[in-house]
Amino acid sequence: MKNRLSNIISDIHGQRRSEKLYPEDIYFALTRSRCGEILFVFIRGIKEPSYIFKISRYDNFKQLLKNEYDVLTKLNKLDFGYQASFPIPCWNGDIKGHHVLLETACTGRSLNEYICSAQDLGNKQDTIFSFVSGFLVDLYIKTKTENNQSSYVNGVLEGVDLYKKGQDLSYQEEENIKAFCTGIDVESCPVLLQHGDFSSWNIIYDKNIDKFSVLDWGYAAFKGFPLIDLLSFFLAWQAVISGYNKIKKSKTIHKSFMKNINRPLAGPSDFIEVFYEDNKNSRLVRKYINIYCTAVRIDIKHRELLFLIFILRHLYSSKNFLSIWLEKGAPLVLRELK
Amino acid sequence: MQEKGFVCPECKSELLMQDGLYTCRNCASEWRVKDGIPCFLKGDVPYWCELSAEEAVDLNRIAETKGWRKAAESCFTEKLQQFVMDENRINWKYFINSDTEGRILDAGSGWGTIAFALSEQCCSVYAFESVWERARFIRIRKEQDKVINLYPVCGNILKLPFPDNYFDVVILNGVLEWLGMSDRTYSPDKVQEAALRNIFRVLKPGGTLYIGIENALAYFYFFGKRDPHSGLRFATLMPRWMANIYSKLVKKREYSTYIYSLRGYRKILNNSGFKDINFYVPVPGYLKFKYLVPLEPFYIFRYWIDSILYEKLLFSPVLLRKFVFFVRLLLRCPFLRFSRNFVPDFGIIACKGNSI
Repeated sequence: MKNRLSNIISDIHGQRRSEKLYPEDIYFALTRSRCGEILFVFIRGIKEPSYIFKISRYDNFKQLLKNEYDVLTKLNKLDFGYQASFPIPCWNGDIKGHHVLLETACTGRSLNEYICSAQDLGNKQDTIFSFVSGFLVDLYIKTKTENNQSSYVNGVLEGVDLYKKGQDLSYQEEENIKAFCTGIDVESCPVLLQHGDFSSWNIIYDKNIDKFSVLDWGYAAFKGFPLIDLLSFFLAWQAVISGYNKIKKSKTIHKSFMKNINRPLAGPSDFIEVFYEDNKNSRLVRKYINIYCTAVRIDIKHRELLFLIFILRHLYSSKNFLSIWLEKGAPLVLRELK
Repeated sequence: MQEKGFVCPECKSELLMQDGLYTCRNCASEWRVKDGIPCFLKGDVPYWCELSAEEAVDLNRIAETKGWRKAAESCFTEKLQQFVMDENRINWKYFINSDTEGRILDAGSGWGTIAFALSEQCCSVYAFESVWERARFIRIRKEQDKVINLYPVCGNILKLPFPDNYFDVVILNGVLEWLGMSDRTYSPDKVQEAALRNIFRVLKPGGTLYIGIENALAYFYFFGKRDPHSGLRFATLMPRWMANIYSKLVKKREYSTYIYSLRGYRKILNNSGFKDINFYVPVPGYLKFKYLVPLEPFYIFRYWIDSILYEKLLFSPVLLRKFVFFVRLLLRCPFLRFSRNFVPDFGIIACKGNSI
């Protein structure tokens, strides 16, 4: 297997850099992910990985890799300005029952590390939120298409169907959701490229060149809705902060460090803290949601519909989020700033 | 040569097969096929297994009547079940230059996890095991899962019944350290070297040996962690003669489960004929790893600790993070490159040269 992978690297590197690489110049380091394996490719003399192989033999994850290749190919044709970048997809194919995607490696450290290493996030948080909302506005502008076959109301109804596949939804709860949509025009809305798993662990920042890179586009969809990625990011951000705060008070050493959660998933308390409470963090979230919605012209009613779509379609959705929404209604952070 | 090309384990001559019996043309030794498994064992063989002999017999009885999965559920612990079913244990395959789709020998196959995972991707796999009930379990699983390119064989690694230059890849995962117990007439290191020379013989030119094994100088042994093979503290850090006396005093048996340092493995592999030897760190351990990182060049190992491991440990308790932070600082010092000598385990890939 190493020979085949090395040959691919040699060919691609030769095309991109006009440099000849021999197999002994190429080194791999393996990481297992839930989708399959990731091979970091190091070239002799270069201290950071130059490429990444993503490999999967499971059918559902093979589809993610193919999707990622398509999305990255299209994204790299768009200009997002100096501060945002993406991996460049180099090769995509099947090798002995495995689907393999080769892309360039992005330099930098995960945003999770910035969250956890900073004593006081302060201005850093503002900078990061500013990049995130600006990037998503840019993504909206560059990838939106007018699509007369979709509307936010339809998005909610489709979200309900999707939700019911994984969770219980009572008749009354379903009726409450539909009642929320009553009276709203089923008008067409633009669709755009939605990342699908937009969170701090999929964004890396290289402080040497002041550049953010957005990774892992496997769940991206070209017919996505606005605002969802931003809400997803803020919820994940809160989960990371609260997870880190919990663990830093612990002094015990676990027997196996691999069992530690490195991506804490958001719980109901995180959901309430970031969207429904009035605190320093939620005010910042509200500020950037407003900046985004003003830039892409989403009014308050549509914001609330999009929030509902976000709950119903969230990647790690649980019944708790919908229950909170059913109880408390639309959150504070969606309201316009005066 | 067609599959199942066995040779006499004693004199390496051709075998004649008739009515379930292999007979050597040269020395007239006989080897029987029992229960569909060629058995090349003679005399008493040390038994080592997670189950007792009776439990292993029960396991196979349940496997034959109710299916091997049911047998695994009822007889294995949960941890052992996960271990036996884990197909990711072959992820070192991405680091091997040889034809992993060719002919593979899993020497010391255990319950067959690695052999079955490889059978999906390669031409043929020989699951070689010295414990009869384990070999039977592999045969039962093979029939129930209808795996046609996997061949269970029962025998002794010191006397492999295969011709020269036969295999593309040989796997020795968690086996080398136990070989010293299979022949007490020689010192364990001589026995291990003999086994490695035997493996060298059956590998094709350009073929690869993969070894998964513990490091004698793993950092936790310095803190008193017991060696999992001998059950002794600090034994892996002592000279062998001292460890032997210590073992006789404490455990009433000789110290024979030799593991080595990075330098020791390189030496023993060089002595056995292997030249192109590369070391990797499987994390957290070679039996079940999530990461496999090369130890050379050093900057890759340092990058991994600095970036990937540090990020993964962000949510671990504060003492563990401080420990990793300390290790990161150490890695900045050039003369402390020797820190790689203290990793817990090794994944070793050694190649046979291309000339016969």
